[in-house]
Amino acid sequence: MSRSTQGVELESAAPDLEAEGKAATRSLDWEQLARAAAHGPTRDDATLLREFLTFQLAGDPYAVPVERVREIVRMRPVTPIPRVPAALRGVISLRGEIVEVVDLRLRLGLTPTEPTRASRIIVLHGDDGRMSGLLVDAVTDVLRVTEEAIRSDGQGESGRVGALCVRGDQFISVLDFERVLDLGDGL
Amino acid sequence: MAARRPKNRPRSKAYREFVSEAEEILERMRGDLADLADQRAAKHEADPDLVNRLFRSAHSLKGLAGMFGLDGMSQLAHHLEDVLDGLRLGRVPLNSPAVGLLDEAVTVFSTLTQEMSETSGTVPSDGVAAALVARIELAVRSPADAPVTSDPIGRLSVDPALLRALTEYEEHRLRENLRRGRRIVLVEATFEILSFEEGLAELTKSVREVGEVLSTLPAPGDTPESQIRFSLLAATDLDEAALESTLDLPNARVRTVGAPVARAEDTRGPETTRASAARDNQAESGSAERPGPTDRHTSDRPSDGEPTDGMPGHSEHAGGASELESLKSISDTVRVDIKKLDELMNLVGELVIQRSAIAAIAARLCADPVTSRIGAELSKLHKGLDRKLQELQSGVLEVRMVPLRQVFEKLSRVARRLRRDLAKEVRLEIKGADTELDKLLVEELVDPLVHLVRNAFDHAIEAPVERERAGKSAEGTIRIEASQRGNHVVIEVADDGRGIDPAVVRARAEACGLVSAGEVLSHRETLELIFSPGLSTREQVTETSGRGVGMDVVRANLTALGGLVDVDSTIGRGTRITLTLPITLAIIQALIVGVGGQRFAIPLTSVLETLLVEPASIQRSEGREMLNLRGHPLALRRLAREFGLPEAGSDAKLYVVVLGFGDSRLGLLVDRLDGQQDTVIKPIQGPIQNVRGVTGATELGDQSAVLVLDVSALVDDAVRRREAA
Amino acid sequence: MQRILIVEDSATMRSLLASALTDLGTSIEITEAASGFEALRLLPRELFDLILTDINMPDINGLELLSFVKGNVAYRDIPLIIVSTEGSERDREKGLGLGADAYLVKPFEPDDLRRVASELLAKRREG
Repeated sequence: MSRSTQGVELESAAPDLEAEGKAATRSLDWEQLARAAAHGPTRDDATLLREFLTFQLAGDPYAVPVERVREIVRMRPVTPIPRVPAALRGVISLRGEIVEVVDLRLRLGLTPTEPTRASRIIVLHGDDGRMSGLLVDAVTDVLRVTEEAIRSDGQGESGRVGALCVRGDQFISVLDFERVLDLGDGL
Repeated sequence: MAARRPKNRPRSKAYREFVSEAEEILERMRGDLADLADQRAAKHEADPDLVNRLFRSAHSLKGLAGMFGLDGMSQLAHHLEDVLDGLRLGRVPLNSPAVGLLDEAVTVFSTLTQEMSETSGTVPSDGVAAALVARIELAVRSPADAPVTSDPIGRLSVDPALLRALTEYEEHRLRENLRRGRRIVLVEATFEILSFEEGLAELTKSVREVGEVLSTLPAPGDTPESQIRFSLLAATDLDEAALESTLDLPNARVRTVGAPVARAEDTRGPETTRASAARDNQAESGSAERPGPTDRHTSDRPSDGEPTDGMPGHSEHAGGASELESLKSISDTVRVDIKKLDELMNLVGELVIQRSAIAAIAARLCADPVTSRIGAELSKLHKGLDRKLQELQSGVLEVRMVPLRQVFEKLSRVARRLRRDLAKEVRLEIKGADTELDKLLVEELVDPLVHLVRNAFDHAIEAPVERERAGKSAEGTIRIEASQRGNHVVIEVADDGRGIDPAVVRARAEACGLVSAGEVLSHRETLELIFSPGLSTREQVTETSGRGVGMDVVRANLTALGGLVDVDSTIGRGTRITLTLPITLAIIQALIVGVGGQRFAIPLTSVLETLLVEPASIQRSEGREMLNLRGHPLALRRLAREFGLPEAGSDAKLYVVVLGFGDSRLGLLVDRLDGQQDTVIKPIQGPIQNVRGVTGATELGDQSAVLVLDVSALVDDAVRRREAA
Repeated sequence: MQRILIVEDSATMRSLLASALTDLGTSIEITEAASGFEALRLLPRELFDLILTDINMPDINGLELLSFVKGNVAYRDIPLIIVSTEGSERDREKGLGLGADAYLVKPFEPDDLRRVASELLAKRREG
């Protein structure tokens, strides 16, 4: 089974999957599973491989876990919804399915801009299987890293960044998108 | 499978789980082995159930140890299992020395497990286990059993599916019983799927009293979504007549599928079998000369509800005629998976949307003089397509419609159970069970309705003594009535219980901070507080106010279906809860309206009429806008204002969309009417799922999303405001 | 999201199987049943995309459950994997004969299970 193909459609040219990070083979056996189970849901096993979709926002790199990405679509007409926070731009129709789109710039308190040709809506699916859209400046890459490369210590002060991911000498903010998508927390 | 990994195992939750489960299994085995030793001492045959249970235990141990790479334990368990398998399959006699080693094996296993738990998961040395394994191997080496002659199982007259599902062990038991000349019977009974275990346990117990249960095969019942049928294959020493009198099961059908083979030393045998065979074959008497498999009508199944005796008489109807009949009924009705129906509905929905796109193109072509001719042709084509599509649509919709009867029957069952459990005298009156509703809606209605009935039982209806003191009949009544009103279905659940005390509700709501002390609420608004989450989840209130918990959930369920819940109650007289909901959720005709540059869809089922009005004709009363509609006042709301959109100029003509939901009316002021379209309402997915006044969205032909207004919420809000005034 | 039903009477085994399958991705929901009866009760309530069942269980055996699932229009499209310690060739043949989509013999590696499960889930997704 290949995780990189898990329902992710990239409209742009497929990025180099092996760009950075160590390619590790998956060989989890029952013992590791038992150990992981004993440690609870957060696995600190260094051999676990994670994949992230990276994107740009106001010049900075961000990332979301690839397994949450369902689809990446170009900008399309967004129908506004009344009585909701401004960061919720409205809804789009995705082959008949109606999905809300959150303007990530507005959500993170960055300077708002009008969408450009490079703008993309990243459609994510949450724990409950429902979809949500994130409007970003541009989608850049798919990144494969080992768990070692993920630092949860140096997170941003805002609480919207769950962890940092090391890529060469660069740090990429891993978006805590569950929090970002929680529009009720008054961020 | 792949080689196991190196030793040194860590302390972990999974290991602790392993140890505790292993200890549990070993404890059970010790008990069972003690029973087995008794049987061995008494020179009885081993009880097959007992041996099988032991086998399963060893089997589980083997699986567990194997998964954890505990090779020594796994090996030992494997040998334990082998011995027990041999014993249950009759290959190893009960007096074999190997059986004597079982106790020792369990002890060794216990010690190993103990060591493991004490050393936090370090693997104990395999030495002791290995030695015991070797001894068991030696002891097991006994002569192989006699070769199996022609398989008697194939001669049984049972559904082959049943035989295919037998495990090797169950097959062995069946053969063994056949070899001993026992009668093989099939006991069939249908149960409610949600509560089958109790009934099945009873049935199994009765059958066990007359013989051995060989297998329990589940199959879908006549209504597969709610019923399940079990076929118990059993072996017995009793003959047909004795079986009939001993096994008195009102709802089960018993038939012989393998009669005993005549045995020389059994003089009574052939006669009885012949007699019973003859009785089995009354319908085709004359052919009943040979003992042997008798009932050939394996497809003949009892219909649910009808008490079947399963004995002669029943089979009289099982001749060729009924077989033909059943074939015919197969060809007349087809069961359809609701999922497939949903897919079909979605497909129709997509077609409808594409048809709208074609209409738009045709209109564009018609407008241009250069292409107007081809446009007209396309338009004509579109009209034909439209007609056919409408037929298809209503056809699919019709298939989805089911009467509420099923739900109501479930309510009757709930009521029966509650009557028994609560020892209250309550009569359930049901009306309008033939009212039809979309299948999906019917399913979603089950929980809220059960909840309402339960609440009425639990909290509303008083104890008989209390009722008599209040001058009511000792027996309470819960009345459920469904009726169709236009495109909506109204279901009322009314009781003649103690009613809701608004003062209690009010006090409670103030205590919870839901309303402030000075706030003026109408009677209806006060009663409606029972639907607030903060209030209705508190049990204390409900006992005193006569209404149960979870009313907030009921409202949430109904709202999700585009429906409304209303409550009306008089202290001492009773409470009426009214559910109003649209007949179908699938494709709906929608009126597209424009407000401040944005479009919205309004389900046409809720639109009574549309009017074009001059701004001057709008009257004001107590700060509210009204319209005199043929002598009746109609409350108005401006959609632009509701949704914070730019409003049209004050002198611009406005459109009024007159909305009706249940018995309530509301005039919605909009800028434009953009015509009607067929739409499929889809839920909105994303961070904010509940926007008051919006029920979902839909895609019109042009790939853009249009919000669908929640008419029930808009009307409801308006009614509330009017009452608050 | 796809739902998996695990039918297995051993709690330890259930949690191991569940944790192996959880690794398949976040859009997997796992329901555990401790007996065949429990599975029978769960089936009409949720729409499952994959069933894993043990063979030897105290109430009805895995083959009987399999026969029920595959003999029922409402469920027969749900892929079913038999996960059993039973090395018996007969039971294996029976399982496959009754329409089991795969048969895994314990002990096996989690990857074996994941591979088979994800293949079946993918097939199910594609319809």
